[in-house]
Amino acid sequence: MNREAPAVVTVNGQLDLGTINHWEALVERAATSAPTVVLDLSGVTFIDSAGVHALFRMVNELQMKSRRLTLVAPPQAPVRRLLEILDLESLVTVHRSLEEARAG
Amino acid sequence: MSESFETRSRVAGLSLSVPAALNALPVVRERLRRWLESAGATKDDVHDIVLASWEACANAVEHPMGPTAKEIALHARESDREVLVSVRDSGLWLERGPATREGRGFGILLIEALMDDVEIERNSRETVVQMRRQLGRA
Repeated sequence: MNREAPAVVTVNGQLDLGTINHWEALVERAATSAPTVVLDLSGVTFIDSAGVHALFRMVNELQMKSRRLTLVAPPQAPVRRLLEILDLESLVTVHRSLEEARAG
Repeated sequence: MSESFETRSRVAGLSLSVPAALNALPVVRERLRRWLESAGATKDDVHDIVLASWEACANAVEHPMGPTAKEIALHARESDREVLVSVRDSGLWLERGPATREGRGFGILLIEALMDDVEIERNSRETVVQMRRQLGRA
């Protein structure tokens, strides 16, 4: 394997109106050191529309810097359903687990 | 017995009033979550109703027009396994175009997907969102 390892950002707790600035800053920083950022949403306890909207922004912003964002969201997690309802899955790769995401 | 046979409620209604500020919303979320659990809501019910209500409150905090708010009042009641939540704020939401994933309208889209029925009433003084959802639906 000669690809550079992705940077992993693990979100624990809330990804909502009150916390999106924090997580966006972490993703931006991670993108400076790796071509791909894996945002692990497995530990998200609450995500709202502002959180999903922030994910859209992160995808677009990394794209503009020739970086790539992928997500990890377990199949039964509420976050997964929100990604479906708001149709983010057409825009970004969503892995079932961190292992799967690391494998690319 | 003075109990009504028309409707059956497991719990008394919930009434909350908080400042229209972001840092007040987690309290509303937790209080509503506990109330829904005591009303016999399933895990999915709790998630969806809490999120829809959060979205209504977040809209009140994020997009009020005119002099800054004020208050958000949330009322919830349960009757015959149906939950009705109303969120009233003393501000006027910005009128928004159709929902797009790039921007505004996401919150409303989500509320509509999560609840069985949604009504939004705006006038010059306030905005009221009324939402219903049957508990334990498939």
